[in-house]
Amino acid sequence: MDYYTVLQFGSVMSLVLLVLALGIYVRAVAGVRHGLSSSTVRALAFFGAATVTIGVIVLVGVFWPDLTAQRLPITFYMVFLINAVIHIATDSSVIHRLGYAGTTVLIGLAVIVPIVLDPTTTYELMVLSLAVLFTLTLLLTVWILYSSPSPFAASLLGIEGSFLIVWTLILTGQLITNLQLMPYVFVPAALSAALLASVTRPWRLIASLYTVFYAVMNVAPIALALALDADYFRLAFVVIATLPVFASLFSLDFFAQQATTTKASVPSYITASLVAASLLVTLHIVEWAFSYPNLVLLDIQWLEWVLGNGTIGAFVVAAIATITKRYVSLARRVFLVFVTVVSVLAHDFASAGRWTLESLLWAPAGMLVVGIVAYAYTVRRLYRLGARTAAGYFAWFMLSIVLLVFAVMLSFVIPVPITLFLFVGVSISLLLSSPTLRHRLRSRTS
Amino acid sequence: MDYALVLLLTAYAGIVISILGIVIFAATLKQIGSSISATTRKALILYALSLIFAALTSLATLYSFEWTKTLYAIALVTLGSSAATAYIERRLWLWVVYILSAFFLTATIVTLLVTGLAFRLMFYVAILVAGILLLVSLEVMLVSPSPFSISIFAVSLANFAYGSIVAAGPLTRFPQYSPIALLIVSIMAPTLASVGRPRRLILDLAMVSITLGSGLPIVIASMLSNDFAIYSFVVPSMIVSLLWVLPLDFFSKEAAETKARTPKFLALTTTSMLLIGVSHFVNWAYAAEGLHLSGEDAGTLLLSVIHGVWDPYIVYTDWLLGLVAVSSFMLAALTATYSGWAIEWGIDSLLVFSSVLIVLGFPWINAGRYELELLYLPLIVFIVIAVGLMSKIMIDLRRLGRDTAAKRLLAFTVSALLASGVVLYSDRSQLIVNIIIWVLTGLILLKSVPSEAYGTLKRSFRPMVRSRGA
Repeated sequence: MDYYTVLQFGSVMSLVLLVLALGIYVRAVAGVRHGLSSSTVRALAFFGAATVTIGVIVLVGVFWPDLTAQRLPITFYMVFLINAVIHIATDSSVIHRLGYAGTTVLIGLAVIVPIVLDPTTTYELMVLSLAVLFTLTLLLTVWILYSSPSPFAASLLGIEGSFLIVWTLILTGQLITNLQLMPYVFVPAALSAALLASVTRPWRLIASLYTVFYAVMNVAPIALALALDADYFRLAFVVIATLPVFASLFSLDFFAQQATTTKASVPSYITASLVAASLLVTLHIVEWAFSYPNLVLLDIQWLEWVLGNGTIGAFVVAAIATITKRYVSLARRVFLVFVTVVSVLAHDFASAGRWTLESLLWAPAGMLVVGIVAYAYTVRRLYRLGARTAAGYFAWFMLSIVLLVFAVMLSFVIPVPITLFLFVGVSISLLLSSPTLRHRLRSRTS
Repeated sequence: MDYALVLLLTAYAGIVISILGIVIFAATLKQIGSSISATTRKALILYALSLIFAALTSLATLYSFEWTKTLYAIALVTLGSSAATAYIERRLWLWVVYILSAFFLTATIVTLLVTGLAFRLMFYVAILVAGILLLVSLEVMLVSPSPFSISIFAVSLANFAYGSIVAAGPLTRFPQYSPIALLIVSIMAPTLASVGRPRRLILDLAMVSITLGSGLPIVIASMLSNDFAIYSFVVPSMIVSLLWVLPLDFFSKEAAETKARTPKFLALTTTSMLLIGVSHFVNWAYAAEGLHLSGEDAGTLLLSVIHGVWDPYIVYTDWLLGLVAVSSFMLAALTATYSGWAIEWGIDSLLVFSSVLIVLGFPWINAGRYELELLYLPLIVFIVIAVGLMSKIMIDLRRLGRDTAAKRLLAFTVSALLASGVVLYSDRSQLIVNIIIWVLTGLILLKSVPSEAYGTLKRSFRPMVRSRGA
């Protein structure tokens, strides 16, 4: 499997997904256009354009590693973004026109400057102007978020933050030289696509869509490259291992809905656990596929470690929240600190080769044991109270997380068929833990 | 500077502090003796006895391991009996505790006379007893929280820690940790001295005794050996630490009266700033001592940068206290401006942020690969955000027309910033700059409390004006 091909496929795939999401976004915004002021509509249009440009930046970065090739995409991204922010911040048409004039000047400069000046100067000018513009935009967004908080402003901040990741990867050249960092590149694209596709819909969709888009952007290119290589064994693994991501959608949707409507703590923590678990599966597939015959751990293992501990931590706190309401925030803080400490200890900066992740495995294992005990207690109590279905959902959810942790932790040690079996088990128990799905199935069969 | 002298003086300071505490307690007992029950009186007297033996343990640590263990065991037994007298209601159980204590004490003394391996074993038994006492007092504290039960818990914790530290034996080997000798005394003596007085006095007096008890021995020893580099830094730093008691008293009074969260967090900030001052001058003395500067010309020293080798564990203590100070300062600002949801998120993110810095700052994780200066950058960002949040409150206060309150808050913030400046960069700047900043900190600190606060602090020392009415 050629890793560079995977990256190219992935960048095309992310752009395609972004354009599809843009289509959904345009339809949704067009539907509610009449209720909005003209400057809001323009802000939304600029926001959509800026979001898709992130996909273009990734695509250009992958196919043309030359930094000066980025001047137009990044300039366009910045002017789209800053115009979106300006249109939310003020209704004054003078400032809007100033924004347009500045946009024209900047794009003109981006075209003309490379012709006049040598590449090094162009590059330096680009970095400088980008830094200034980006800081300005960031400050404006923070100000908007502070003065009138809205999901839109928050997502603007999210897009800007994820742009920072891509920009760092491009600037340091790691996008091409260190292919292991591929999963980082698709974070902004997946987030943007999820934001675009869930506009005017319930905000909880962002979580579900993000996990799916992220899985597709990472796994589909790998699967495609494997199919081209006729490497059907790994292809089968990759496809089967992705099943939990889709299986978790049903429970994720249900619990996220519960969390947003009832503001209860148990569904919120289960949602967090499921999102982390689903991202963990995606990352693990990438790591496994990249390293299969040798099965050595890659750089992204730290991210996996953080996500895995986060999954288990949220899972345990959810269990504690079912038992007692009084100590939920105390438990959350204890596990937050624990997961942070274990994550820091696992990082290369802290360990410096003195210890490995294996020597820290007691931490997630200990948390898992606490979680299993807590869930067993809750399930038994619910069962005795007569709420057998509810007890069943909890039991299946517990089983899915436990199996997932085993699959991820042991997949480099045990034979591949057993890992696949575990992943199938995770998918089945995730499906069984979703009340909506089971309800639907039962109403159809009876 | 003679470190053996520092240790000896610290142990004597502990004895002086405990005698002062007991004298004040005796005067109180004479006045209110008739109004308290016989059990309470008995418990308090046993507590005072335990204090004397704890102070003697610190002194014995310097001379003889055998006496340390025996005195430690007596201090433990009297403390346990005091707690049992106060909290056990059934006479039978009380007698069981007394008999067990007597048995433990007899066993300790008998093994002292026989000596040998069995005696060493008895010390571990004593530490075990301290551990059991710790668990029991935790239970008591959770069931009925009162100043007495909380102090019993704190003292048990201190006893357990002290026993473990002495068993490992670092106090004579690493004399720079001399303040450990004051661990127990500086909790127990203030508790006794403030019986029948406002509760916040316990905290004030504890801070005063820690500062003076660990500072004065260093000052005396360094003056005797003409170590200008040490006492010229320690004296102003000690005075600033004493001045922090003023805002501490003010904030804890506010916290007790209004039950608000902001003064509680500000009191926590003040306590940690005070303790940072103490641990910093202790470490300064150690670092300067390592350079053998005694007898150097004062003028030369004032203009030179004194950059010695610091004890990594005291530096880490500074680091922890500093993180507590900044976090609580930020939380004070958050609780004053925002409500429920934002505070919860604030606490959570502060926890994550601080635990990252706590792990990375730990000497074992660091293992000499990087200086703590590397971690100053995130810490300074943290401080800037906290000060930014606090400035918003000051501006709001000014808008509301409460200029004096805004100015006091400004003075408090500025002095905290100046003090952290010295703590962060004292080994990078000239001695005279450090001294000037300490003096400035002290002067600005005086402006941070309303002038009534001096009177309140003085009044709370006056015997028994309030408790008679109550």
